[in-house]
Amino acid sequence: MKNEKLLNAIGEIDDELVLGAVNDIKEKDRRRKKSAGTTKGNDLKGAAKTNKRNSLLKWTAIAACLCVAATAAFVILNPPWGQATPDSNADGQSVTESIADYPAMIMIDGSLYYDSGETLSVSGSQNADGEITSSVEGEPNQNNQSNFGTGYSYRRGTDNTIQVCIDGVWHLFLPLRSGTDNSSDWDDLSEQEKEEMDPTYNGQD
Amino acid sequence: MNDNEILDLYWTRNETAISATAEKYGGYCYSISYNILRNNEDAEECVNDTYLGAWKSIPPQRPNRLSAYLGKITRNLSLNRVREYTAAKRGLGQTNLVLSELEECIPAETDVEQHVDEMVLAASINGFLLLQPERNRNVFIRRYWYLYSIRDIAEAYGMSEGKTASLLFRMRNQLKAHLEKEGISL
Repeated sequence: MKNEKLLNAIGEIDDELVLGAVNDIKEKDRRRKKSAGTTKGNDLKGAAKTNKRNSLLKWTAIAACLCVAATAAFVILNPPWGQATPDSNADGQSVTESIADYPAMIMIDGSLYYDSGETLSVSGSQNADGEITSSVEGEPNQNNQSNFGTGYSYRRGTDNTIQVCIDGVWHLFLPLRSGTDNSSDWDDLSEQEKEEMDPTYNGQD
Repeated sequence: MNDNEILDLYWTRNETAISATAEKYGGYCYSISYNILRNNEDAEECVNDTYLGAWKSIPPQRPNRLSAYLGKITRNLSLNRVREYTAAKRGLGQTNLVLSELEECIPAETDVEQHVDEMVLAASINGFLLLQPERNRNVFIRRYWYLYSIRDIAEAYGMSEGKTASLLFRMRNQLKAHLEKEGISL
């Protein structure tokens, strides 16, 4: 059949396009997948076990809420950003811990970038501008350094963004702040805020 | 374990390749198969057959993207199973609906009949998709590669089902025009 031929041909389209749609699915379909998972569970276990499952889900949700509240309280009392971890590993091997405490970040050309959570569906050119060569816990403080491991290629995108290739998928990193130039932060402040922060400020920079 | 390490296990005929594959890509393959078959037991069987297919074909194959390679095997096995079931009038999932929709993309016959190789056709579709905005492209691939239902796609993108169906309709017409422009007839 002709339409089957078309369906088969669509099955042969470029891997990058197929996986691009998968990444899209991962980002946007969490709620739908949860729903599908529940349906699957119902198929397998039947209605009698559903109530038990729902009860378990309820208590799991309550426990999760308590964990979130505790974590939020801890973060508010001990903000991790901008503080060096006193007992951080020099060899930077505890990637899991750093990911738990900090967002995924890299430093390129003296500027920090953080993972926006967005991925690029088509990799396009494989040309990279550089590679992450070192990794630290916490906040990167050297060029070509990350807090989630080494060996990742990166390239510069438009609008001062960086794209980092992780497991074959390009992730979009957005600028956090410059390591050497904070003038843009100051410029963003209102006149009143500038006067509050700098008593000597007289309306001129 | 990264893909290269898993592929090395296949190449050294180490059976832990199967469990490593299942651990990393079992869910991915299952979701593809379940979308097509809408049956838990059949989907699980197809996923297991996928591992067997990978075991038999790697080596000599060494795919660049293991996930896509496994996904294609799963998709083909699942579609084949639907074809078997169609004859027996059993669970159809989205496949017949999708096949019916795709009929609209088939260009009118030209005077000179052309035999179109599947890969040539795939390359043309590839080119068409690359010209599309990212969202449209992904909607199309979800529908016609992964065989997601229109409802699922609409929900994922926060669109109405009508808008999603309309978008797919326009894209099918565009694909038809694209194929005709490239002189492809099926």
